[in-house]
Amino acid sequence: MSNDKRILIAKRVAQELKNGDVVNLGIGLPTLVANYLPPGVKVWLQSENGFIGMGPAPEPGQEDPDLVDAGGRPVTILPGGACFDSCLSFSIIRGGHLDATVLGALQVDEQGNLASWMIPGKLVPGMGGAMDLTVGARRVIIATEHNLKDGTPKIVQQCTLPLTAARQVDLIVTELAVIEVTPEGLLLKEIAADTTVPEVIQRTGARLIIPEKVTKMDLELAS
Amino acid sequence: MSMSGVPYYIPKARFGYRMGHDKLVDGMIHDGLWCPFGDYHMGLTAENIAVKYNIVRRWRPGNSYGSAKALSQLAQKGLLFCAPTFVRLRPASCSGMKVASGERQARFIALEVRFMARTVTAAEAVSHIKDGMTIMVGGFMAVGTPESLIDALVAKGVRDLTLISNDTAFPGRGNGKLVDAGCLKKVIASHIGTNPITGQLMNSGKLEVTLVPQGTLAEQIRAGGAGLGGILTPTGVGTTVEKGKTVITVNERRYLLELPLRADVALLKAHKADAAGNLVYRRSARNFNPIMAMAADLVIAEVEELVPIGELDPDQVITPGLFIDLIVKL
Repeated sequence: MSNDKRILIAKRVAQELKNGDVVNLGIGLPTLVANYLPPGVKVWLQSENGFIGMGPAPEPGQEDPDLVDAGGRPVTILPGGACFDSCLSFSIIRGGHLDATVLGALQVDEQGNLASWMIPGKLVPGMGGAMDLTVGARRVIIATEHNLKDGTPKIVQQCTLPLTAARQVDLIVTELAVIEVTPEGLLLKEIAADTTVPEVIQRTGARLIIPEKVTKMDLELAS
Repeated sequence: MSMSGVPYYIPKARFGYRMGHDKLVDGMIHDGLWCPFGDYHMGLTAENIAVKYNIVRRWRPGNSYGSAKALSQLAQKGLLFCAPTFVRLRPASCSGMKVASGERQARFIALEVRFMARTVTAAEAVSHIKDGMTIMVGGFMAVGTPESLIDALVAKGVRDLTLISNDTAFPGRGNGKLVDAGCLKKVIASHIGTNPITGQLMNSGKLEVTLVPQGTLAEQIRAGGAGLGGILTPTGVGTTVEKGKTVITVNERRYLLELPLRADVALLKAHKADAAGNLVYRRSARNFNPIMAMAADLVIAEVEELVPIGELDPDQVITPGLFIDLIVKL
């Protein structure tokens, strides 16, 4: 995925976060969200390996070997942060104390099912904290490209890959669209400036509910 | 006459008291329970033997049959006679007694012994780990993993271990070194994606891998250390994780029953320890370490700094020393 697409998705997801939210960002694209928070919005970033108050990457040479993010990369901890063990970390996650989590996806479907942790026979990295995050966070936001490189839709009628969690996704943000998971199905909320509703429908593998008016994504809100 | 029928004596009573205090002497203790050779209360014999033969408190269940059984199991595993030198006494085991001065002294000696965690070399520490054992290793992608204990384990050439840990880190780092050296038969972890060798061994059938959601793994280990029969978690419901597990509905929400996990030996990494075994961690290096400290028969902590007793503020201690058997100072 091109860098522009990634930044677009990160900027749009960042608009979903409110000042003071406690948020866990998944590895990869979701991590970028922290760089594009709208002015005046500060969130507490929780890292499932055991702390809250995650700050930016340290200056070269300032890395602390005891302080990494959930992807193993050196990070910093901001004033007001706190460290804890894995049980407490997942009590925060599972116990409904996270306002939101932003995660990537292999597939996400009409019922809000998410598949993100394995491709049988090919890729079996393990679920890490993703199953707990998806089940426990109050809002599950999926940040993903709309299609695979070959054009295959990632938003599908029903996931064919093993699930990370059943019926837990709330919002899907791609470079093409913002889609809300509702009890009736997937509701198209916004489309990107350079696309059309028919293109989004064509590139989506699931039925979309199209309201009378679909707004365009407004990324100027972001810093 | 039963022992409890032995009277109290009144010393000097035959000739009377003139001035000053004196006290009654319990004939049962004086003539029945006091060891004339060692000059101590024989009620402390078990504790004294425990001190002499390095038997830690949690290897001594409440009754003698349980003790014998537990000890014979530990002896079979080779964990018994090279165990730590300190003994834990429940305060209750002393506080209920009437304490004569000699007895009080003996009790304090025992308590003092209890607060000496034994410091050993990494090689000595891992000498307790035998082929086929189950070990827990603290750390998250090698942060908070006791690298010198892992190195010693690799050097020892142990085989067929079952590893319970968050992940298998990277080739050449942390748990990755155990994978590289072929020490493992089975891995129970939440993530193996950062170590391609783990995946290769799994795909070629040389390594059995059980993947567990990270929060579930943490709670299973906690359950193992906390005396719980398992935990109920909503994580994994409706996924392949649910397969073969009991589902229990509480307040109309479905939960998986996840069973406790324990190990023969836990290998921990801490920033600082005092001589009582109390541990303090740094930043994200804490992760699974404090939980695993509760869930193994023998618990070994590798520490960067070792300070005298009294130097750590009790409020600062994250893992109380009672969980720690051996300390390896880097």
